[in-house]
Amino acid sequence: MTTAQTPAPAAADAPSRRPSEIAIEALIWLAGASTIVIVALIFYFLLREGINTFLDIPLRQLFGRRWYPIEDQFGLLPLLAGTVIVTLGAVIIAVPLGVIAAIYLGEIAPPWLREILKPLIEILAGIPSIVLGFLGWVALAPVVQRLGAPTGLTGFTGSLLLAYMALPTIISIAEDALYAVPKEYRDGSLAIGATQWQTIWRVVLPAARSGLVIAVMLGIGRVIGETMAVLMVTGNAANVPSLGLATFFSPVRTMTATIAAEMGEVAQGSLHYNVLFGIGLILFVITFLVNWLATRLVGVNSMRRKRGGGL
Amino acid sequence: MQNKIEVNEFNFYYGSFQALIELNIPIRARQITALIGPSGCGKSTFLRCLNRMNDTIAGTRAEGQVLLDGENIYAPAVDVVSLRQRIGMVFQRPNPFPQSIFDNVAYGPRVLGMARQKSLDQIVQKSLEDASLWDEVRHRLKDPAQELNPGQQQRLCIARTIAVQPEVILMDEPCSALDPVATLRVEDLMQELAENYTIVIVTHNMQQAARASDWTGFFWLGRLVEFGATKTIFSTPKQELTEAYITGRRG
Repeated sequence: MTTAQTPAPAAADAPSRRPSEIAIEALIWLAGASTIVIVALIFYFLLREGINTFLDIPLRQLFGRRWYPIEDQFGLLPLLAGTVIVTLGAVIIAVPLGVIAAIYLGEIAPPWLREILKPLIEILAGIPSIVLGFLGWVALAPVVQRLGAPTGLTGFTGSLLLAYMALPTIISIAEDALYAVPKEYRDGSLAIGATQWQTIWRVVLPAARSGLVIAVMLGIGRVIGETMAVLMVTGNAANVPSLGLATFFSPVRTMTATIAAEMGEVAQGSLHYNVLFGIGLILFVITFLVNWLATRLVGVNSMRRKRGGGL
Repeated sequence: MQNKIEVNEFNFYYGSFQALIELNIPIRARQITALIGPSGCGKSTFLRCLNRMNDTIAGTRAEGQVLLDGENIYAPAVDVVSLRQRIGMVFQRPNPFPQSIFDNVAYGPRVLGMARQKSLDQIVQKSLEDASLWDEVRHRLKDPAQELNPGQQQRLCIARTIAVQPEVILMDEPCSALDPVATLRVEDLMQELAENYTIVIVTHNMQQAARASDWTGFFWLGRLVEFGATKTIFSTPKQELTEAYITGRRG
């Protein structure tokens, strides 16, 4: 049979190609492996420097309301509350706004307007957070104070600022998710006699669900991890605000801001130093949880898609 | 014989390109009209003009009349959304929504506010029965529609279309993504549906047009070359071009 001979030329070809193939494969492997190693190393150092937090300080005190490092009072509750308040506020503002903006960009805006808006949003994503923090401090804080807050530097100010920092991420990823929805779905819906809004709400958004979840999660990740801007505009007071509307309009301090503000003046190896790393460890775990939640939410959907094949 | 749709002096443009030229076509009520012709001849474009799906494409323009029961669907006062409810469409590739089988069929009645839950169940069952899919899916209505095979998916799309009780069903090469067995099932289904619906089908497949339609229109470069009873078109066409295309000498 003649077909049996076809592998021969390929084999003759192989020796010249093989070294470069191996090199490229090794490089790709290295790139993949390095991310795992780096994450593992980060975790290791956080754990090594921060584990004392949880060993030396009684849990009762650790989850207390008093954060006075000078008096060896390391109650993390105010910082946790600060992060939760600022993040929650930012998410409440940014998610609906971001998804709606993505819908407008992807489904409704005429092409010429989209061409103007998309680069602008990307520029917004590229502005350094310290610049936005400055803007918040100078321009946003006075407005918040005029709204009736005791000071302009509040959790809400931070939320608003962070919402705008997370928006570009949410918008561009959500818009990609909407773009990935096949046109056939829209046609199918319109051809039945559904309106454009019904089509978006009942067909396009559900079909883009997994991508939208990723957009929201990455937005949250951006918000939780942000440091400098929140440090500048949240008032930097390690208090647990009272519940109610005042919760959002009191000065707070987030975990990230605490690390950034205090790391410079802490004695290396002291308990305070360990606690700051402990805070980092908690942030690390929170980020992991957010990611885990995202993959769980998305996973169900993509599994279904794989089984389905089809379009 | 009654005309469900009458197309008079119809022109259609993509930007400056004229895709359809001076079309005059009668579509008979409760009969199957097949549109044939080579790729790019405008037959799919024409089909999408009948329910104004081309409105979703920027830069398109239509001139002339398309009369549905004597009323021009391109008149300014026409509500496109309710027009599409009267003229349903089945697409080239099966496009069930990524939802359950039930939700796919229930989609139209739901968005059009046609039914409460109890009658919704009945509508879904009736539509699936009419699309001869009920027996295959009755025990798995909650399963994702994407798990059906392509032939079943296409019949599901037909069920989804007839769930809103349109008067006309447009089919844009509905069998081009299907195997021969699934194709025959869809063709059989078309014959049953023609008792209640007016059907217009675009097809590349000469045999399909010959065996499944009552009327045939032959398109060439945006013009309607010949229109007539399918038997006549396929046995004694008046135009040489038609004969050349049907017999495979041009195309």
